[in-house]
Amino acid sequence: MANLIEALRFLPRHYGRLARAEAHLLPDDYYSPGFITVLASYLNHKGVRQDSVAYASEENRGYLAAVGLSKALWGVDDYKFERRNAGINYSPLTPLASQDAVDLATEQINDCLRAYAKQGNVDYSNSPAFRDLMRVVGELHDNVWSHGLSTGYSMAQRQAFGKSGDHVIEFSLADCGLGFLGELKSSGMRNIESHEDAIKWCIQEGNSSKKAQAVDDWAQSVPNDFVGENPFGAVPIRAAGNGNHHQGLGLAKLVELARKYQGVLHLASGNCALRMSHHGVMTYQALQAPWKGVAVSLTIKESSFMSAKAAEADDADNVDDIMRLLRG
Amino acid sequence: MEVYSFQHTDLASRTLASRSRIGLANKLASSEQVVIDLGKVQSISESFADEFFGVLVMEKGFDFVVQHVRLINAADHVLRPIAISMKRRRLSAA
Repeated sequence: MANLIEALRFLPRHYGRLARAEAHLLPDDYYSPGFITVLASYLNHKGVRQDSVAYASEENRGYLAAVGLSKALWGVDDYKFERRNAGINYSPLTPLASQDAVDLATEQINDCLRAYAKQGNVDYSNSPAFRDLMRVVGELHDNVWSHGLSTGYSMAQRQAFGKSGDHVIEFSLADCGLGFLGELKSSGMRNIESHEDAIKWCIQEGNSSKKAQAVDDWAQSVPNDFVGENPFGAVPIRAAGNGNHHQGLGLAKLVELARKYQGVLHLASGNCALRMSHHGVMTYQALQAPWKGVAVSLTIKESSFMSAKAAEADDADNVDDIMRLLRG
Repeated sequence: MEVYSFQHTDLASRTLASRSRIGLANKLASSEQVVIDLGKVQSISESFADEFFGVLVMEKGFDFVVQHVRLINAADHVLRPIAISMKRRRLSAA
């Protein structure tokens, strides 16, 4: 099965020297969400046209049409059938083309994940592990435009895990934005020089490039006359300082989720890819061709969601009190 | 009393959270209490909860927020990250 790491190796090696209008042939293989999101991000970044993508296998062509590769990349839906399996074993490939697409994209992916959760022998949609996954999907989607500043693509898939009767859920997201090191450098951090160190820094809880910035210029990305879709109506946006109070929680939560529920995590940026095994062992490997941006893939067995128990927090009473106050 | 609600079932965008917080603060300038219906919301990221509710606590104070903002129809798993973000910002301000 071609996964995220294979995409990061295959695409620059086989497509790197091709002009945008030349045929980009996809070999016959089984493509995971990790591969597909990296492929979409790569083709979009390079500006490859729809008619320049060729398929060695009609099955691959059909599957990528079904997940909506052309629809997400070029706005042309080339799938001629009803998507009966959308939300059953795959989500549509979902583009994050702007800051305002974050919540809609999160809703689309999480709707599919919620549908997966209700299909098995046990409905695990109320499992604390599953709730954590919903939140992590949102955190990662927001990171694309809070940090990467470039279109990203995400996707989720459910598939059988061997002959055990178990299934695995894979969620993946890739963009060709600034990448971890690029963003840290643009934030003025000078003591991190390698992509590996940048990944290590970014996955620590409490570390955020936005917190490291002396001047918060993020708000300038919003037009001053923006009225937005917030429920309270028109809002005058100041040129700076209206938000972006990043706490450095998103990637730390991703790693924690993978570790707690024996997931397999791939996280790549620049010339480095982190792999965390289901035993929680982290290994860093070099990529021959650097990936411009960030690519993430998380795979968790459904049985892990089913068996997860809610952790009892030390300060649960305190939080419960606040919840009561808010409910009134 | 006017009740506000979000358009999406899954809330994650810090940008929307920031705009919404500013909008809420404007409403609070002229209303004794603002009611937000979270019945449609199925997930809320910690970043969204922090940018909206945590930062509101930082700007207005914890007591002000719990006195003037009511959250209705919220599932426990939606309300908990909000309460945690408020607690975190309350502690950091102390």
